Amino acid sequence: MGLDQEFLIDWFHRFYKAQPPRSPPHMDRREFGFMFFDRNFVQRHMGFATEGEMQSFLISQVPAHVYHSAAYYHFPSAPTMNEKRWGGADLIFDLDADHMKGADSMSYEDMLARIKVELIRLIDDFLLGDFGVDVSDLKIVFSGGRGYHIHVSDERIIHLKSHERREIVDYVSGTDLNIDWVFPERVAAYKTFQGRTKESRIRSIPSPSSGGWKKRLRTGIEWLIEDMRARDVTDLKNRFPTISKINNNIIQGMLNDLYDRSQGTEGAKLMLENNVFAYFSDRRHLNLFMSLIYDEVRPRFRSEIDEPVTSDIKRLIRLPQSLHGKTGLKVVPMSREILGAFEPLRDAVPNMYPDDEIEIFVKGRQTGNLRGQRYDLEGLCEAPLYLAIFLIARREATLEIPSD
Amino acid sequence: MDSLSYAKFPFLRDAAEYVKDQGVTLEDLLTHQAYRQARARGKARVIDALEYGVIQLRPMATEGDCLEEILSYPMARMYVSGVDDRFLTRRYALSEGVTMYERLEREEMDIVEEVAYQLDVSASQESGSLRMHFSNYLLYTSRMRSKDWKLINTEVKRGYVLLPQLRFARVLQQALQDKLESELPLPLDESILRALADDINDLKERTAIRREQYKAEDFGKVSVENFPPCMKHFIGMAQAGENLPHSARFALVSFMHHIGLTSEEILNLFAVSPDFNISKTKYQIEHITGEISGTEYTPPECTTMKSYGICFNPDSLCQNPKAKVKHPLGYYRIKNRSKKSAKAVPSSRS
Ligand code: SF4
Repeated sequence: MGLDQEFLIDWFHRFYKAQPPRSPPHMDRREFGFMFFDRNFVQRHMGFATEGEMQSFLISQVPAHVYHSAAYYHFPSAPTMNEKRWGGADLIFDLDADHMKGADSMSYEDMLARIKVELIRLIDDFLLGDFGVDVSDLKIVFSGGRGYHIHVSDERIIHLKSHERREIVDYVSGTDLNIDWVFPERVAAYKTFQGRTKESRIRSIPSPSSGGWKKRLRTGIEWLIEDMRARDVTDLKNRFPTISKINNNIIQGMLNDLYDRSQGTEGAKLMLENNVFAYFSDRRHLNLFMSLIYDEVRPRFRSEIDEPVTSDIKRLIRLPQSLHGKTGLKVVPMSREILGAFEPLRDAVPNMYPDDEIEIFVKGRQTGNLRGQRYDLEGLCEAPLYLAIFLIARREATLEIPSD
Repeated sequence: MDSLSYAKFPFLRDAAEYVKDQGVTLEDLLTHQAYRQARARGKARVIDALEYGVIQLRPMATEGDCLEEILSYPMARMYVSGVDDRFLTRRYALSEGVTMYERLEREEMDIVEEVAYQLDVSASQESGSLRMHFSNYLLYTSRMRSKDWKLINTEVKRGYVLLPQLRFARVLQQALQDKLESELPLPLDESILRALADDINDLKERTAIRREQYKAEDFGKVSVENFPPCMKHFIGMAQAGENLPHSARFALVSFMHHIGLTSEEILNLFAVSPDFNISKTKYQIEHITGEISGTEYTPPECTTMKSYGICFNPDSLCQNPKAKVKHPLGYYRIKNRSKKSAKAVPSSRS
């Protein structure tokens, strides 16, 4: 075993002795799984009867990663899934930078901040909002790595199977949204011209008292109208890349229909007052507006979650208050009120990691913020222990000082 | 609720209570002359399911009629259990579900709510609609294929969805179907089987004939007989009203298109699906056959079928190394070649 591994094991051991994690709710019905620093597989199918048993396992075995099942089993330590007998599972959401577009080009800090925006939308708009989940059934957890987890333990939801959970995923991620349902079309008038009847159809806008995605897209339209108000065509094309190929005249036409006041009240206002898309002078202006709703509004009002995690009813999830083996950070559970002020790189560093400096070798140049301190390190240098643990766990530094 | 309601919805718990209060015993029901008519109605229930996929309305003018109608339900369940055939069980469950759906359409909201309650579907009335927790809604709708039923296309407010009567009735249909499929077949003891032996045998024969008709249904120009086992299985599923997984639907439609069936003929096959929606299915079919997309899809190869888990019951030809079946279409060609000299398969219906 290398120096780095020994070092991490030593500190993880001290941590688990000083601050052993609490058992998850219904621990006796959960399966546990572990990964170790010196082994390359997940040891599964473990069960603990008491909190003390679990804690002494952590202290003596010092795993690098600790997981428990989202599921409740009758026999959690049985070797096969069938024998375990599934009896429900928390609904889990995983918001991870790995699944986020553009995350690769961001710093660790920025990426975590972006994820937090998605997370708050998921919690406030979807879980506490549409789904009416009670805060007491909601656990928010910083994963110790590149994102957050949410555990929902609502009695009515834990019995849902994979199929049904997939519907929840689609709901949250805005998949398969039927625009004709949100904005139903109705025949507004018939015109007869030279013996031929033509019907004209108009789409309606959901009223402010509607629910679900109807309400969401109504709010989205209000947002879009305000967002576009002060922009000209060029500005708008930069802001919304999905319309960059649209003819300028059509865009200008749409803007005029929406904001021009020469005829009295502006179209945008009338639209929202009368809940109908009737104020576009040209079908193409309306179509453009509709495509903005679908391609630009919808993505801003959904939440990007990792689908397989939520629909898998037998998955393992990190144990809150344990340590993450690839960062040394703590897996931190928190309430919704705390979330706003939570800074992972400040608050998830275990407070028992000391400040004493030790010598490490940094691979390349590493910069960032940890525990509220800025760092900018390169090559052989001194670093406080808490930072050394973080960098070594991330393999950005090592104790094996190269000889030359 | 009164006896007429029980007659219309004989699966209700209260209907069973009512029967008990009338003092009808199982023994009487099975053998007594007085219940000959109830037994006949029970058998007719099963035959209706088999032939029409829906149970016909029978006279319910008098208390006596109503009691017979109520009793026909436990009888039908015993018959279906006696036959003990998956095809029949599914078809029966579907028919009871559809029948209830059609009857609920014309009922007062209070009755709808009561039926829901007795089916253990929790819902309550609110401003002319029915309100249920979204998790309950998902329990019954997540397997429906149509986009209209997706949760995202439903107004979910603070955990609840509001459904107008008709939509709610469709949810109840699923609930009843699921319930029957999980309850049937009932374990029947010897004395019951003996008492019903003649009728059960008759129903077995009818079931076998009906199933054969489905299998051998000739689609205008081709015979299902030479279809590979996977495709036969899908057809069986579709016609028993089961929902095909998307991959299977795709494989089946593209297969049938390739051997020369028209979209219309393919469409007919799906017409008995529980959530059949003609314009939607038509669209899907025309998409796969290239009428809409311009791309004509070919059915997947056997290896792909296997990886989707939809290579059902491969037979000796599939597994014969000399035949080298790599593709369901290949199977079909080989079968046709070997049968070339044999007489043309007569169609069962023209
Ligand atoms: S081997 Fe090919 S043809 Fe035979 S059942 Fe499987 S998929 Fe169908």
